[in-house]
Amino acid sequence: MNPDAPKPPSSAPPTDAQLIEAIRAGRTQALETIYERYASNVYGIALQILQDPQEAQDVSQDVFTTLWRTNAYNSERGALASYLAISARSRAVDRLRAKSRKLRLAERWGRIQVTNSPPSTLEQVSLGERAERVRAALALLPETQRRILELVYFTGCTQAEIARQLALPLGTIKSSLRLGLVKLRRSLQDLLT
Amino acid sequence: MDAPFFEERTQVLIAGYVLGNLEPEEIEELEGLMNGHPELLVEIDRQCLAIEAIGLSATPIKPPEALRAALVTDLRKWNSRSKTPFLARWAWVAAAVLLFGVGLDSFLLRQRLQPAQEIVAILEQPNSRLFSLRGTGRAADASGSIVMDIDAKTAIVAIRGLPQLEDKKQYHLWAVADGRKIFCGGFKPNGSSVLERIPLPSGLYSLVVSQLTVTAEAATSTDHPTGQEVMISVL
Repeated sequence: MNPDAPKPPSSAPPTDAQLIEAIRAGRTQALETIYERYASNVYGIALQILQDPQEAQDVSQDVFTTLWRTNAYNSERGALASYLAISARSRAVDRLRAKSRKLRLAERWGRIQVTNSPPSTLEQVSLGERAERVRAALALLPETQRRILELVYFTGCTQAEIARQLALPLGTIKSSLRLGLVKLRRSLQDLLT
Repeated sequence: MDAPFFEERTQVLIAGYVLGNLEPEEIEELEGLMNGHPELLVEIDRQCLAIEAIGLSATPIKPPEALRAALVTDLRKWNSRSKTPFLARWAWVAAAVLLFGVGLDSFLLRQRLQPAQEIVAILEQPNSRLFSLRGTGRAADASGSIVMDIDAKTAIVAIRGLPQLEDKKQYHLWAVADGRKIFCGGFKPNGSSVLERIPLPSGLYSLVVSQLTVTAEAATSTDHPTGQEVMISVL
């Protein structure tokens, strides 16, 4: 049977879970649908980190081809949108690290395993709504805390490098990061449960 | 149900842990808290989710059409190859050896995963590693292998000959890296065999794993091994 044979029309768009199943069955159309859904987010993250359209394109391509070629995505560990965002960030930061060897802290980030934790509410609302909520939560943070959190996330700089960059004591950077994260987590409380 | 808020100090310590900027004495303090309150793992998970969410604040940007074209070309190339010859032969051999070593029948394999394809997919990754395990102590007859893909934070555990455990216990896999033992996941044998995919912790990403060990532990004990060692990796 041709795995890309057209399917009967359905009123509802396929869910991410259905598309992942279709990818595992070898249907390339499913990957194209996922691409339509998430390419802008993946590319947006990669571009913000790398500041280089060609490199951001390479990273994005790698994210989607890896999704196609491997079974690395596990729905029990989070929504597809989160997985793709983390993959894009991880690969983009790896490129920065390869270029400047300046990453240390960021590589310790990532979801720590909590056995069989179900997808959070954050992962169940629409991508656009999630993005708005996160932007609003970040906007509520004191300027320094927000800036440092974003610098660490989007540049992969170490705390020491950020301290030099902002001409602030390292202790201030560390405490600002911690307090910023606690406040961000509280602002997103209803979405993280 | 909402996750509980813990007191400010605990939350700040957890934030430091998640951010990787705790001082040694703070690590001790947090470990002390964790020992009495394993539910703090949920808070760690929530703070990790909060960090991950920062990525969502990036402005979506429509990628150039060249990206779609490159992706389509990639897929065509991939699909046009006969997958078996394309896959590294050693990877298939390693997968076969690994699965044969477990001694599971094909029905069970089909029930549990698509093992050969999954193992080969992992072995093809640049940062994959294959470990052979031998039993020790009361599990001296056990043997098996573990294949890890550190980048994808996943491992497949294939072991046979492990003794059954009491209900509240399970086997824990630990990676020895930089002189520390890092918890990598728990599993229980089905009969005397184990064939499981387990997610690996993010902390392994930047470390060189020198050895793996397996211990029999209480299910909640993940800080450091306290139970009997039953398997170690061999070169």
